[in-house]
Amino acid sequence: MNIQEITKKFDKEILAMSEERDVISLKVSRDDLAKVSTVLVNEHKLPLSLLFGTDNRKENGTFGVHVIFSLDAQKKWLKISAEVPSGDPQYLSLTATIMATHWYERYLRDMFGVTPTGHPDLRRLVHHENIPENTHPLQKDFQWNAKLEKANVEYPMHHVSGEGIFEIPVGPIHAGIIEPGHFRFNVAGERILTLEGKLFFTHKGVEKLLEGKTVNDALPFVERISGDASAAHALAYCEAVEKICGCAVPKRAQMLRAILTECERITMHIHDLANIGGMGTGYSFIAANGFRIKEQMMRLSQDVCGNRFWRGLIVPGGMKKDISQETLEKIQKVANSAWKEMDRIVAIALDSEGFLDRLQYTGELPTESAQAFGAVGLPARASMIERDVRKDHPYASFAEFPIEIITKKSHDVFARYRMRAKEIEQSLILIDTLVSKIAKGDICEKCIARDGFALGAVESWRGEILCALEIKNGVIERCYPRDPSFCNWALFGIMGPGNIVPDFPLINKSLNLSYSGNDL
Amino acid sequence: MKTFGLINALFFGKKVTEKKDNFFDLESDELFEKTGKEVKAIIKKLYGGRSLRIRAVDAGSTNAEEIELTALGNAYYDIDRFGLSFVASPRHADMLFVTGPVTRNLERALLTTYEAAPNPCIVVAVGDGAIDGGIWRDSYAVVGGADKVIPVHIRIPGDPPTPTEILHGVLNALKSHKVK
Repeated sequence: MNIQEITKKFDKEILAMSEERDVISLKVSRDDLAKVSTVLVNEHKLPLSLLFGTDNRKENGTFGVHVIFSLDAQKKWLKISAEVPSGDPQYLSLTATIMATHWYERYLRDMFGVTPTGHPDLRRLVHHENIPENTHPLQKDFQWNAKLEKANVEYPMHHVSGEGIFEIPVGPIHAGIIEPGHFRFNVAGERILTLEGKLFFTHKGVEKLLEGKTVNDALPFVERISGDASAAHALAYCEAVEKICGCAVPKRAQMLRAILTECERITMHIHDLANIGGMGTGYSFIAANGFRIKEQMMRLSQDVCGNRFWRGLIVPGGMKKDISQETLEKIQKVANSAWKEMDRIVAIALDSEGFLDRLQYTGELPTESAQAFGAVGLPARASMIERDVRKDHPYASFAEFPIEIITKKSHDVFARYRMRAKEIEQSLILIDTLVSKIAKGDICEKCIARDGFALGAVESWRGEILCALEIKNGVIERCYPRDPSFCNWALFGIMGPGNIVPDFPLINKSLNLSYSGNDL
Repeated sequence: MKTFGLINALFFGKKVTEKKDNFFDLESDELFEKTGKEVKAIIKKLYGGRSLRIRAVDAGSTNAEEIELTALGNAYYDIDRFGLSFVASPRHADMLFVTGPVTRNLERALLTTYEAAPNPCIVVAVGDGAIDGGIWRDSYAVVGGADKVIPVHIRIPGDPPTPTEILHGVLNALKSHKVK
């Protein structure tokens, strides 16, 4: 499906068209947005990657609703925008036909006050009970430091009733040392009938805080969207900035960036192998060894970056400081030896019948569901969806050093477990190649802020991070750093039911989604 | 034949137990070990030889603090040997660790957790966020540091603090407790 076919097909609907760098922008009316998007998703199988709003009331008295599709084959993005007049802020909902926009539209309504009419479930999403009605933080006239009243607005949860049906509420404060979120299980005996999450407990107002900041001032906030994916978030943001500013990042910096994000992937994949295998199933030998091995990677980060979270080195324009040849070789050595050890531990885990029994056929995610919900990253690939930003929209040095997409057929926790092992192996080969062919030269190009819009995409260890950035008058007008968790949280509604309650923690760990990144 | 093989492996096979040397190849942090020993001595004195139980509450952190708290349990740090352990319920806790700036959506949960913990309960704010909101302070969605909601006794700065810094914070907490 190329862009000419699309424009020909929607000749009547398209009001304007423009192309800038890797983003093709189309403008349609608010009544046609749902129609055009539905055809693109259903007939042309384009993955819907993002839906976000903008407040343009100052310029032309409208809100903007933008839908981003990924044109994987052309390595481009398709942005379809519609204007919604501020006097009558509503448009036809996409969710009626496209499941993937379900949360995006509820999010849009909470943050901008734009109502998608015909949305099947227009409850609140970000705003909990304590937020007063008609609070829309991303409207431009809302003060970022406003002190809101304490309200008590209803936030109902789904409920099943019948003989022998029980409801189990879990959270927001959990038993382990994990982030806060609330889950509601409706169960018959041990089987889960429905499972619904109430998240956004850690909503800190990141998007609002980013507005009006200069490109460099915003970086610390972006790095702290999700503590365990600092490097990937920073890279997605910097990619967007550099595209807007037309900044050519030196080759050496590109390669170092790739090495850093791959190190982050290895660190967190080792963590997950230990966490799923050990804490998820109660096989504490795996956890004890896995967490010990992960600590080696965190200490490596301390040596390379000066902190334990691979953060602080990636800045707009390139790298903050160079990494010496000696340190590069150390990265190579430590990462390889960490995996060599972990590989043995994983082999022991996979040798246990009891272990396999817990993982196999647990938390199955059919390909159709993954597609419908717009799943991204490792869980999607473990359900046979062949998408990886490193291949579809190459960033850093992945155009020069391409990767093969790894997929698995079995759709279950077991598939996700083995995927992680395979991805670590792939990353190690990549690091070896990059270190041996590392380019010499500068590491940072000056990045002068220009106005414009761009998308930065990075395949973090968790999945596709998409950072939509608009700069105006040298400061950030709108920045939406979408974490992969936002796309994948809804999958639990599919993966949970049919399993028994004690399997939920295991399924949860097999995705290891971020609450903080999701809640922004 | 199978039985014979088994007996052979059991009595004449390779010893499964690893050599003692293998257990001590972890690079240990001198400061951490020293702090840990001090903590152990104080806990023994204060709690009559029993242990100190900690309940961690995430009040809106970026999950980096949680990673460091989890790291305290790995083989490099292993705080259990100093008489410290994390518990699943505030009802069992002597100490609360609060991480992250308190968000509006978690204000009530934090307060409820504190109320559920038995008295006396030492509250430790872990990380810049929990101390005064860190970079998120004054945002519409953030209430502020943990002390806006519950009394805070000890503050451990850092973004996030390293495991060693956290243990040192616990030591300070116990020392000041002794003075009182």
